[in-house]
Formats: sequence, C-alpha cells, structure tokens
Amino acid sequence: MNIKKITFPTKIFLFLLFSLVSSISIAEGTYQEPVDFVKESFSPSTPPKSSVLWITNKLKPSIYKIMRHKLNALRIRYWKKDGQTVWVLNEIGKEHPITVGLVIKNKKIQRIKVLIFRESRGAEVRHPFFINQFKQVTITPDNKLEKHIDSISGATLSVTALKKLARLALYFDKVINE
Amino acid sequence: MPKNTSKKNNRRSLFQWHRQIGLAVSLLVIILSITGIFLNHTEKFELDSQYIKSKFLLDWYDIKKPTIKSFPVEKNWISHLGDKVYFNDVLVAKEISIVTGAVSVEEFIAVATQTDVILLTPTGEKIEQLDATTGVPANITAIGINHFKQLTLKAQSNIYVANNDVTEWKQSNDTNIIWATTAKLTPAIENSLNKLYIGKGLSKERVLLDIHSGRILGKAGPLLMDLSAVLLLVLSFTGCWMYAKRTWAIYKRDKLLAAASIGESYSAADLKRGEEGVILTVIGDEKLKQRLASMGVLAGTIIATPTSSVFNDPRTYIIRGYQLCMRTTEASMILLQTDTQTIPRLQKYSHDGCSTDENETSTIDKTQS
Repeated sequence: MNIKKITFPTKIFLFLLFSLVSSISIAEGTYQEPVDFVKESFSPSTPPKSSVLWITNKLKPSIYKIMRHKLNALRIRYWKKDGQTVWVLNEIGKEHPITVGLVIKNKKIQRIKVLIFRESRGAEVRHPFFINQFKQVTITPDNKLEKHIDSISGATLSVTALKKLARLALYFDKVINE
Repeated sequence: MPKNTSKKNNRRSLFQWHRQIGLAVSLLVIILSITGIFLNHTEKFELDSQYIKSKFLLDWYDIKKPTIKSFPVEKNWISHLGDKVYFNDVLVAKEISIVTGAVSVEEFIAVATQTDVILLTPTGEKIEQLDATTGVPANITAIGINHFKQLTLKAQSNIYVANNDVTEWKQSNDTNIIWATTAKLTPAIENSLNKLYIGKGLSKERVLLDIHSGRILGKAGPLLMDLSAVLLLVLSFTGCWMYAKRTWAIYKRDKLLAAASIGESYSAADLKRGEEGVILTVIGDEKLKQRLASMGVLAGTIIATPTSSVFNDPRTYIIRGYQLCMRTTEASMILLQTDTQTIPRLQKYSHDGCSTDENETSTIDKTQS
C-alpha cells in the first residue's frame, strides 16, 4: 500500500487508534502464590498443618473496630510452628481484594508481602520502601499499630487495606496465644 | 516574486490544515455536541432512571446477560452468574470464574469452583473460602457427598475426601458418591437474580457521560477527547485568522474600488517604464475579466512594464514571464496593490523580457543615484 495515498484524516484516525491500543496498562498481578508463601515462611522445615480460628461473637466487635466492616468469613486459617504464625488474609482496597501474607513472631510482624494485587492502581504498596515499615511492628492493647505508617499518595486505599490486615493478623495472633 | 508565491502557498496550506483538521475531528465534535445537549437535560429526559438493554453495550461494560447455573441444596439454591455466586438471591462470593457444583453436608453448604471450595452456613453466611493453601486439590471438576456423608471432590480424575471440619483432604478410592448436578432455578429466584444483575446495572446517563468524556473507549478515550478539544481550539484559531485576513483583503479591495470609481486608482496603466506592481483585482465587464484571467492576469500576480511606446498606448506588459500587449483602457482595469505605489519595486529586465534576480534595495539605490 502506498503510504502517500493515505489521506490526512485517515492518518490522524490511525494515530488515535494506535495510541488507544498502546495505552492500556494494568497494575494487577500475582507476585507469589499463597501456598509458596506459606512454604517459604517455614523453610527449610516443612510447614505445619493449617489450624482454624473461629470468628466467635466475642471477637466480632474488635474485628469490626479494626476492619470497619463485618468480616466475610466465620473462620480463618493459619499455620503455627515454633511460636511463629503465618496468615494469608484478604481485604478490598477499592474494588478488588488484595491478598497479603503475614508472618508473626513474638507479637511482632516478621514479614509481610503482597501476594496477589487485583486493583487497577496502587500496586506500589508491594515495594520494599513501603512494606518494610511494617517490620517488627506490634499492636497496642486497643489493637492499633504502635508505629505510624507513612502513606503513599495515589495508593491510599491500598495502604489502608494493608494497615488493616496488619492489625488484624496481629490481633488474631494475640487471640490464639491468649 | 518567490516571496509572494510563498505567502500565497502559506495561505493555501493554512486553509488545507483547517479543512483537514475539521474533517478529522468532525465525528468527535458531533458526538460531543449531541451527548452534551442530552447531558444538559438528563432530568428532563429522565436518563438517570432509564437503563440500557442493548446486548452490545452491556457486553462492552462487561455486564453480560446472565446464563444462570444453579445447584439445589436442601431447600435453597446456589447460583452462579457471571463472576458472582449467590445463595438464593444473596451474594456470597465474587470473582469466581466457574462453579463446578454445590452440596449440603450436615452443618454447612459447600460450593466448589475450579480451584476453591466455599463453605457457607445453612443460612448462607460465608464460613471460609478454601484454596490450595489449605490443601484443596487443583482443577476441581465435581463436588459430591460419599455414603459416609463426607464432602468429596473430583479433581484431575482423582477422588478427595474431606474430614468433618473440612480442614484436611485425603485421596480416596470411594466410588459410591452422589455428585452435585445443575437444576432449573425457580422462576421467582431467577427473576430476582436477573433484576439484581442486569436490571439496574447501566443507566443511559452513565453511558452518555462515558461517551461524552471518551471513557467508553477505556483509558485512552479521555486522551482522544482531549486531543479533539485541542484540535477544536486550533480550528477556531485558524478560522479566526483566515476570516480576519479575508475581511482585511475585502476592505482593501473595496477601498481601491471606491478610489477607482472617482479616478484615484493605481492601475497597470499608471506603471512607468521599469516598474512593476502586484495585481489586486480586475474590474470592468465580465467578458474582459474572464479574458484577462485566462491569460494569467490574476490577483497576486506581478505585472511589469519593461518598455514604453510612443503614446504609451498600446503598451507591452510582462506577466508570468510572457509579454502581453494591452491598450491603456484595458490596463486601467487592472488595479494594483497600493502598498507598492509608495515604494515601487524596481527590477531590471533582460532582453528576453524575464526579470533577473537582483537585490531589491540595490536596484532602488541605483535609480536614486
């Protein structure tokens, strides 16, 4: 085809069409499968069998205070070995759930990792500069994080979701160790 | 002469740009205008309370007409629509691609997807969503209950049985299993699900807004609309510029025509030997105008007189490189631009009658000296 024969409006249209196709980008992604996270958290030894924490009526008010909504589950799975507990929890950032893996030892967060991110924006929360703020953080008696976590502009909802999950995991850890 | 030609070309290319940009954005402008009018009167047209039923638009927004897959559990129904799972008409799970079955096991209901098992209380409250981290086998194709009333899964042609709390899965050789099967949903629940899912999913106002802002085309849509807005701005500037130029030219011509009517015009007949001028317009009867135009006597053309004759009538003029002999009565109909009247552009002409490329100022200096 002779390019010179293409009229100017057609060229503009083709340019716009090209820019339309090329500008579609998605932030979502699976960074680690939850199974692999659990295995890795206990390596080199094998992970223990999962245990179950039932969300009783006694726990519900505290969970509501942390999450600001009812938990959409009646029991939560966790893995416990040598005083270390591992949790895989979900919380919606804006529209889709963010799956986060947490390792807690001595009532402090040892490790936290975004495993699956399904939102269209805010995936910056997975980066070490943000996530490392949670390391060695514990909760106060009223289940709040004892340390201030700096937010990321443009990813506020994802940051809030991660803070909630950190508090929730620390609270659950406190409950099962009581 | 090249200066004048390039000026003319610029004018022409500006017009071409104006025309082609106009063509390119015309469709977007039509869309913007029509949607804009409707959006200004959404309340009057009640667009916010009317909903889209077009299959194409619903598909575009990923709102598919539900093909409901339902499983009876005791007296209740587990239904799968799009990516959502419902207990009767209550939403229990989202982002589920395929539901392979649902069964009722003593104290709970189990719903199997390809990768997960969702446990619900008999009243539809979600207990837990189990996945590979809790030992659920991958690629589940069926869910059922064995003769011990235990939850059973079929995955990759193996059979897995759960313990009573559904915390562990073990492979089994059991063959006496009742697998979950789909059934026709009761019309009442089907209707309420359809309403929930599609009835108020997409208002006409939302679609119009998205068309207006370009968001209907995804992330690049607003950019497209921004670009068309910028092009519209360009259009208005080029339009104003061309209008101003044209108005100024008409004003100048009218002024000259008025001067011509009282004998104050500056025409080709007024040119002295060696002078040249730029044609503004040709006046007189249509026949003469057409005849002169066919010989290249057009506005913007340079006309020069290299020679003089005895009574200056008729005289030879040079237009577009050729010689044209005209009577003074005809030459006086060719009006010249007045701005050349004050400072005549002088040029020497070679024997063949064509102008030479001599510097303008230097020729003026020579005549002065």
